[in-house]
Amino acid sequence: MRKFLTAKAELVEKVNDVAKKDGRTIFSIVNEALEEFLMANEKNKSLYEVIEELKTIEIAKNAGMVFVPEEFHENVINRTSLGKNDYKSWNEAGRIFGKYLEVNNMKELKNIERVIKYLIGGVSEILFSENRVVCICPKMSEQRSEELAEFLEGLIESLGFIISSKEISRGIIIIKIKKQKAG
Amino acid sequence: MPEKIEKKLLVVRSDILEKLSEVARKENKTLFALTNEILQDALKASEMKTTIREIVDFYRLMKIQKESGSMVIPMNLLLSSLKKSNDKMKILKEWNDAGEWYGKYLIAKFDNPLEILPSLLSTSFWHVSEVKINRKTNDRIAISIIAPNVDQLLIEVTVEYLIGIMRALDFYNIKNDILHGIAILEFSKELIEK
Repeated sequence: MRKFLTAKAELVEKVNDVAKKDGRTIFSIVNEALEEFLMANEKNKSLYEVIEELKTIEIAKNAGMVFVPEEFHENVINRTSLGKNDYKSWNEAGRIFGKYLEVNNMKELKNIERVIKYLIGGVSEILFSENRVVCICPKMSEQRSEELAEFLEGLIESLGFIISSKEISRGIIIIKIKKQKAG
Repeated sequence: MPEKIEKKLLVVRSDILEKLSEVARKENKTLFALTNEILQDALKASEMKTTIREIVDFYRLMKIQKESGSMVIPMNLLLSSLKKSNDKMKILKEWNDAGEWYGKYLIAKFDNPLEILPSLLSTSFWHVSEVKINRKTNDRIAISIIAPNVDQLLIEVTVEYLIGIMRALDFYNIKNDILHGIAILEFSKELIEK
């Protein structure tokens, strides 16, 4: 059985354009979107959150990142000590990632916080405010904490902040920052 | 006086409308507001050259990947850490073990892990431009990966990871051709000398 639902006319028109372009009916597109929304809703996720998370994934992918088994990475970095070049590379990777965020209009602190949380995985707490960045992840080794701190530093600087101090312990990173003055 | 919003009617399935009304009630929103939000998201998805269905599917696969204990790191740093190690065999063995664990994880999560494996590999092997799984018979599977711009070492560890996954799924590696940027693997339920 079919029923009627009202929506903003401008949105309906845009959906109608998409339907025409894709050679589909507006009925099928709208019902599919509503059905998928309900499915995501059942998993306690809003479509907005899902789309934002996917944007993060796309950025990470385009920035040349790859998935690795976490345990493997921890083993490798614990076997080999981080040299000057490694720190530099992690910092550089952070800078590149920051630029990708900027290009994708994701410079808002709330967005950056979410992106970092996604990238680090398993992180129990992350806070990105105007004056400090805090990352707490008890299961992270000392080496991993150090490389992550470098990545964060590069990211923070590329977003126009100056680092005033940093403290790194196993599983805890605290970086104090301030906004770079324009000009 | 507030600006009058122009509205239009949409035809929807009644079962969907019922569920939607329930969600709107729960979230303390009007059905009109909720519908507009969903349409906006659908349009955003369309701008990303995808559909909400594809987005939700992709999200589900990524979630599985993240929950399996995977993390993302820059590819150049992964490579430099791989190259730093003097013991290549150890590295390959670790990837094989990680793959085997991942395979077991898939067994624990899904009734038919082989069904979901192709989509999981295509969405999570970002360094690979193409991954194909061809189930030749019930007992034979061929997997090919193409990654022309990737360092050979990264292909080798990826191959070991795949061998580990398939081992967990009770398939032995019987053929293993790794060329520059391409790997063609075959697996069988029976162990055959390579």
